[in-house]
Amino acid sequence: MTEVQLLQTIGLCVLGLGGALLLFVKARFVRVVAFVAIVLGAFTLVSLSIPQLASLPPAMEKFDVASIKDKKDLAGIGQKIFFGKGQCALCHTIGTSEGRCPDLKGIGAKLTRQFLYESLTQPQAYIYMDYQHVGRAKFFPAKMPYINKKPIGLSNNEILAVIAFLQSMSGEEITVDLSEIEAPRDVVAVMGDKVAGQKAFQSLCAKCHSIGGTRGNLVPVLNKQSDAAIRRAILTEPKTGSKDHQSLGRLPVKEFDDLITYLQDVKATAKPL
Amino acid sequence: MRYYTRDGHFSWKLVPYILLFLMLILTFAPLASTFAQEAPAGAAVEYRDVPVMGSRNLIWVVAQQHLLLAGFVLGVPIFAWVCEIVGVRTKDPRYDKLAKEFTKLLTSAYATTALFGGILLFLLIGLYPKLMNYLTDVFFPSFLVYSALFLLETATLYLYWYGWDGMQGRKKGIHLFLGFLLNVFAFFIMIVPNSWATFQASPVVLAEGSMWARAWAATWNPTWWPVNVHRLIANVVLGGFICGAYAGLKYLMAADQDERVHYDWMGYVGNFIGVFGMLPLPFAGYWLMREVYQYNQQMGITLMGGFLSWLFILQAMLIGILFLGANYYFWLGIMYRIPGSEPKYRRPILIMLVILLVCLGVWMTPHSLVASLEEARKMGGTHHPLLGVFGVMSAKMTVANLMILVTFMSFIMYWRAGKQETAGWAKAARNVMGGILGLAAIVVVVLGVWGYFVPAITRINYFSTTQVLVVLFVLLTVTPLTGLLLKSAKTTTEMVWGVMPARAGYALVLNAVMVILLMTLMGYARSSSRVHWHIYGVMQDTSPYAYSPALGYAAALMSLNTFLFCLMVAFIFWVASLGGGKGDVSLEATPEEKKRMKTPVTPTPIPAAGLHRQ
Repeated sequence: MTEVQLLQTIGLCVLGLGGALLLFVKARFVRVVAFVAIVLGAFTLVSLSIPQLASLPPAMEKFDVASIKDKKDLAGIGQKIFFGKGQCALCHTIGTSEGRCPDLKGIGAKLTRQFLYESLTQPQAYIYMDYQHVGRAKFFPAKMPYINKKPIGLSNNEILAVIAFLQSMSGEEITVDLSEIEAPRDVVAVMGDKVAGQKAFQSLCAKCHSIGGTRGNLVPVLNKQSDAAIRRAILTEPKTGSKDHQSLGRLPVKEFDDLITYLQDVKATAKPL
Repeated sequence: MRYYTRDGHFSWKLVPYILLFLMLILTFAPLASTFAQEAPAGAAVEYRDVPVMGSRNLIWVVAQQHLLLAGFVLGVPIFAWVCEIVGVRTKDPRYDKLAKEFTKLLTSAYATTALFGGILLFLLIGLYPKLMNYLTDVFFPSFLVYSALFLLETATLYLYWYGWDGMQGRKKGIHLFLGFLLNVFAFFIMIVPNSWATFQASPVVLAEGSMWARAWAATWNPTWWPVNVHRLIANVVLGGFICGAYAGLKYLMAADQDERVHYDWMGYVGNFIGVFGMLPLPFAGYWLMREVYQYNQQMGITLMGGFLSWLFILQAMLIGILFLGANYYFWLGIMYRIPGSEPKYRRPILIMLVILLVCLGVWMTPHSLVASLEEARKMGGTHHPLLGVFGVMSAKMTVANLMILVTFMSFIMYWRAGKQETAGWAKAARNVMGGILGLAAIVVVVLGVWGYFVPAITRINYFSTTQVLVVLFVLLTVTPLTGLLLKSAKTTTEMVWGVMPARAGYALVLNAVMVILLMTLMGYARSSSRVHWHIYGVMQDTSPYAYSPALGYAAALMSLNTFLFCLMVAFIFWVASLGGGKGDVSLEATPEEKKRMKTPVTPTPIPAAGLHRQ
């Protein structure tokens, strides 16, 4: 007997017992209890009659580089990630037009590998508006999430595997080379979006700071500090009388990560003045 | 309480208490066993498990009981205090008596709420130490604030309850101020733990400042205020309907006509409070969902379009039944309490019933149908060619607003029944109100249909918001206008209390069960939207229970929780009745009240469901 069958049996028993009590017992309190039991039993039975979907945590696919013999293996791992950890199938379909986001049938043939990578890691960089098959092209309100950031947080290897799967299922040649797959590290760096981070910098920091400008130039400061120290400094070192840094504490985690990514990028590219 | 009836038979009244006792034993018995999951030597324990039942299910049951009790305990003081004010303003002693009876229920439930809070805390510390360590690290200052608030709330509640009789007359103002303080403390007691739960769903970056600064930053997270507002209203709804159910049960079990009159009236007030709160509740829910989407779109999709999407069909079913139950009670009131009104109101009631049923049908229509492969092939997909149109948000927002309008109409109809407006401008006012209502319904439907032809973002940001504002406008204009109109109205038919059929009592119980189920359902939704995260995107759930069970299994637990809660509330109220009975809160109507209520002089039996009215 499956779990659903067991619960259905219990629900039916509760209904039967409640009905019997209503029929044969005159005590008001017991009748009310029986009435409540019938309502709850009926609710349970209705709930058991709809599709039973459990939300399982993403399968922790061990990305064993040694086990990947050819590109087919890589595409196989990508397929598991597509339907598992990547949660792509939550919104995208393959071959039907009933998803809430673009159908991905043949997407590997339509788009280049670079475009696919950008769509996964910087989904707002280019908005594909022509996915509505009828009527006027329009923005879809559901924005594509950043796949390389939390809560999905695919590693670079995993993203490449997904691209390999998309190309493979479109009948295209897989252009991801096995040499691109890196040995997995213990901790997957969760990268923010530097473009979004730049915007955050403009709105939150540019009042007092600049990058390479005359007022509050941060480049020398960034060059002297480690990443952890930069992060700590932003959160803990407001100037006397200034509450600006304190307001950063109300930023969603994602936006803060974006800001840090932008500053790290500045640090990596800017020359010390 | 008698264990045996006078003729020596076993008293059936004992059965629920025996069941409650057995269920509590069954719930907590697994704790006696050794915890299954032990940490490896040298490592900190992250989780502990409970055999058979599982740690997650145990926490689920205890947390749900605590939350439901807390909702009741925090919701009741609001309308008890309002009732007391109404009593002072109208000089009608019935309201003061009713407020006192509400508070009596409150005092009984208060200690049990705290007890379950304590049990929940101990279990969380024991079973989820990793999570609790993190939360304690972030929120410790607010734990202190919460404790202080609890002390203040408890002291105020005792003063408010035990000082009721002593603070009549000139000291009534002090008593009202105590009621005000009680509500202020209760409000803060609600929003402090809300910050803990909302932080888990929408965490923000925490600065490495002082512990107070960190706690404050974590408290002020994006979904904190939407949840605060939503819960505040929902607590009033829960409190109102539970008091209604209590009155319904007491009405069904009433031994004499005085009790019947009293509890009939109390049931009416409870239902009114529940409906009053229920009307703006969907708007607060809508705001919360918008904030969830804005915080993290993926979480919004998981809720509305992912594996939880079917949950909203169940929600529609429960809300629909609640709307039907609340309206049905109003209609029964018109038919039975206002003699001679049946011919006049039969037709509009029938129309409203049809509208409600059609709306419920649309609301419950899923986006994708449960169909076999063959059926899906015939339909050309899982969307039905005709019904599929009703499965989208535009249709659901429209019918939800229409149901609110119909329920509001029921209430206005009940309010105006048995009265004749005498003001010179009465006809014009009636036309204006009719026009507003009709126009609002048309605007809601037009926007709903138009919503199919515009981008979703336009519909969400403009059309749905306009629908909500239009309905709010109706509520905020027609209510005061009706109040003004009835101020000078002549009563043509006096309301007769205590003559409602038994099914009215059952309707009140049904409404309460629906609200409790709704709270358990949406609690599951809120918790499941975090999927496999304790703190979304920050701390992952790595326990064996890092998954959300399917709806059928969850519904069985929700039903169990609802049943346990109902039994517990019945038990608490019964215990409360042992102390004072009629002595504490006299149910004996004074001659003045009897006159006001036009009570039949001789006791009359309650008509059985489906039988003729008296």
